[in-house]
Amino acid sequence: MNTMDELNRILYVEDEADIRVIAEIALEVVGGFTITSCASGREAVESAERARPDLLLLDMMMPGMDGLSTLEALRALPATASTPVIFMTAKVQAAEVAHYRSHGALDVIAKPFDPMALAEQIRSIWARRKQAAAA
Amino acid sequence: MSAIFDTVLRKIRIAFVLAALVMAVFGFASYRTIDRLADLAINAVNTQDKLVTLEQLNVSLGHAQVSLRDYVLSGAPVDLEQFQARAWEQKNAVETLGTPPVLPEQDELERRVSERTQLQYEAAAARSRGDQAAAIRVMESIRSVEAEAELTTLLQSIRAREEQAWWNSHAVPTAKGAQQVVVAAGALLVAMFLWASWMVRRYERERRRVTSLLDDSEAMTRLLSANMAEGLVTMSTDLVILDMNPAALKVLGYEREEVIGRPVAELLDPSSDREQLRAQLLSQLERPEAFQVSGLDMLAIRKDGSPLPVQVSLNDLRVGGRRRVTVLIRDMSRIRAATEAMKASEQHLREITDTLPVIIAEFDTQHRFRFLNRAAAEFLGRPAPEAIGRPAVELLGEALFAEHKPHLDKVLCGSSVRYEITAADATGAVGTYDMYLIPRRDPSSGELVGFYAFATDITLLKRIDRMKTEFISTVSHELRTPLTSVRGSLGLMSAGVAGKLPDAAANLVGIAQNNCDRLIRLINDILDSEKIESGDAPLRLQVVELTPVVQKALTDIDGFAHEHRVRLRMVAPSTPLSVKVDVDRLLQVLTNLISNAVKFSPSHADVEVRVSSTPRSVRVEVADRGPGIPPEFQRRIFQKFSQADSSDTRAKGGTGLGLNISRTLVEKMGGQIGFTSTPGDGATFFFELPRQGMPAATARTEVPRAPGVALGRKRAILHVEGDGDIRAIVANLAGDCANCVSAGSLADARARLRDTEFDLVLLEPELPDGSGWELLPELQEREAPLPVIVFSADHAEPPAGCEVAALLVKAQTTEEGLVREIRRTLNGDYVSMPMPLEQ
Repeated sequence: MNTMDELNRILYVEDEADIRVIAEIALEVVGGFTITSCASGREAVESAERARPDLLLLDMMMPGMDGLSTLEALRALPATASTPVIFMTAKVQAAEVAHYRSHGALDVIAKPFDPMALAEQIRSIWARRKQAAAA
Repeated sequence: MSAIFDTVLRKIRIAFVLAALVMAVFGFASYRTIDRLADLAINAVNTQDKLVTLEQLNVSLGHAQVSLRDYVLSGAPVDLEQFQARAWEQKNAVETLGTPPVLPEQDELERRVSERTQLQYEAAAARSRGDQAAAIRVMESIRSVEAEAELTTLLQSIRAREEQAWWNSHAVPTAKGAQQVVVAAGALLVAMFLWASWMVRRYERERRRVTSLLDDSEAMTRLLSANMAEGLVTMSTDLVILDMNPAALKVLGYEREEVIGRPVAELLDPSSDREQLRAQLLSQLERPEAFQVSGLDMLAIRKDGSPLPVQVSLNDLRVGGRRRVTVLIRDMSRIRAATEAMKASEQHLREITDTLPVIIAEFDTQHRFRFLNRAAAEFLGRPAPEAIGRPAVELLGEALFAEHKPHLDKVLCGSSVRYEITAADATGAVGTYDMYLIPRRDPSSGELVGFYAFATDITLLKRIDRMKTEFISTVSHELRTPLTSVRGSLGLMSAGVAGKLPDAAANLVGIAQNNCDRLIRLINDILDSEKIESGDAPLRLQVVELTPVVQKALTDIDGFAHEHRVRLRMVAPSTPLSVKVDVDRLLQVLTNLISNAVKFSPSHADVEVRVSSTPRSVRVEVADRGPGIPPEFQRRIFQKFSQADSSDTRAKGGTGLGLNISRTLVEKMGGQIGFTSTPGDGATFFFELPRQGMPAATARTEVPRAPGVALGRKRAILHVEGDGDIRAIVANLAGDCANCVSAGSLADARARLRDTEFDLVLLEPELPDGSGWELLPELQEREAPLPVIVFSADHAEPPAGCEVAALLVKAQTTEEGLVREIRRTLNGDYVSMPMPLEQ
């Protein structure tokens, strides 16, 4: 864990442009975070060093590199080797959620999400993590 | 019956032999007795004669001596003549005694008498010469005296002996004995006669009885043969018909008079059967012993010339000493027809089973094939007759048989079994089969005799099912992606993120947003319902305490209730109630029932959640004061997409799947769900779950942990306690949920706290080196305050200003209670897992 600081910069990967727009607004305008959004895993790997994110927010189902392979690629980079990660997915069955968590995700956010509540949801996951780390 | 006669006859025979023996014995005895009697009589007469003769001899001897003496004295010639006469008499008497010679001493007697006579003549001669003195000298000479004495002695001895003999012949009571023998023999004869006559009468009586029985039996035999369903022909040894019963006449179409006396061969098919029967019979009849031949299939010829298939059984018997042959005729035409029909029906059934695209087989209790249809034979790759009787393990192979084995054991315990199995057939093609095993019982005894196996190839179905699942999953994903954009845009717009909207537009965007939410819920529910039903989302069952789960559901939904201005109340017993459930799914059911109750409640009404139990089950009721459930809707309420009023969908925001999902989930957890309702006066939904025996298997009781923490390190407890035994017990108890480190003293505890990070301290205030209370302020001053559970020997109050998580007294706390408290405290600081947008 390279940081226990406030959550500020988020590296966001989502192949669907419309959703990307909405999430950007939800997180930047509503949530006040700094977002680096990428359309694919490859783009995320390219942007990671520059973005120096506090948190990775990865869509699961993507053409080419999916969420898990993107995470794997990002973990290979020093900047994101241990950055906490939250997955976003439309597949929200219990077994799938458990599977994602087993890959080290803080949590899984289901799609469709409420744009007005998204930032708050991420903040509460972040707070819980801090609590857990402190305990 | 002849046995009785034999017995009687044998008895009579023995009796006669005995009687003959007895009579012979008695006859012989009688003969001997009479013979002896006759002998005795003769002896007596002889003896008497001898005695008389002896007496005469004695007298003659006396007379001779006297007359000699007279002559010697007188010397007169008269006396001489007298003497000569007496002497002659004397000699004569001896000779008389000797003819026939009866005395053993006869010779001696004659010699002595002749000697005496000679001496007497010497004396008489001397006198004749006139010499009296010489005569006297002769008479008194020693020779004369001795001769006289010897003769006398001899005569006396003979006389004595004969007298004794005479007496003997009279002394034996032989006559008396003979009389007794004769009387006894007579009595025996009378007795024998009486016995013989009694036996004869008895024999006669027995004979009559047996004869009447024989008559009855013969009548019965005749009656039986007359009423027999099967034909009976009696014939002589030269194969001529003597009698035929009505059944035989009827089946062959003859009158009785027409067949009596005819050769039996005329009734048979001339081509072969005649000779066959004749040869068969003649070969048997050559031998003297009885014979029996059964089951000869022949073709008889009726009177009208038509052939008749019959089965013939031959038997010989003796009637009145003559040998007879009976022929039992069985009309096979009907049986043959029935057999044909059965064969046809069997063929029909076989065609059906062979045509069915299902593997059908029947096994006995030893797993041996008893039947298999064409599909089964094709699967095994061998013709059915080759498989029949062979064990399944041999034809299926060890590996496949092992997969079936547990199910075979179950079906042979008497219950049907259904399962799926993947197997390769004879060609190597791998398929999935739906197996259905049904026990087979003997129809009459009900005893388990094997089982039927039906296997349907569901490979294609499985593929389709998989496609369906993938389709639903894909569709739901593909639908969610655009919905995410729509819902997101609407949400941002209605929140004014993109600028304030005019009221009318805001209203419209609100409508769009609500319906978008509804659509998302619907997709979620459809997906959920499909997953639960297909078994793709298996329940993770664990034993937990029910009340905390209900409590959590109430907490989760409290905000929603508040929005609807509805108050939630919970009534639950304090005793722990254990159930085996999937906690997430139980929460889903509870949330569904409670949110329904809230939705249908009027403002400011109460929704009451009641937990109750019986020894076998627990019950959760959710009661509202809403409008109740219309009677016409009650039957459909748990069906998919059923809502009392379609307008409700809009008004209440439900998807119409919640209750259906709830019912499926409750049933999958082994329980049942239901409701009671009075229209206009609210509804009460309830479900019941089987109660678990263990009071609380607390090891896995906790509500799901917060994400992230689940992957964290195992929690650590510091147990401060002076008593080593209690330290050991607690370490053992707490070991399940945390690493338990023990400290035996205050100093020890401080050292441990410096070295290690703990999540909880379990504290006994009474310690060997001071008071445990001293630790409390130190613990509370730490960066991350440590919760403390006081676990003390007596009821101890912590000092003012110090907070503890719980106060437990050792003697009053069960092991489960302690573990529960530890868990509660360890989990106490976690927020519950937020549910995604799923309700």
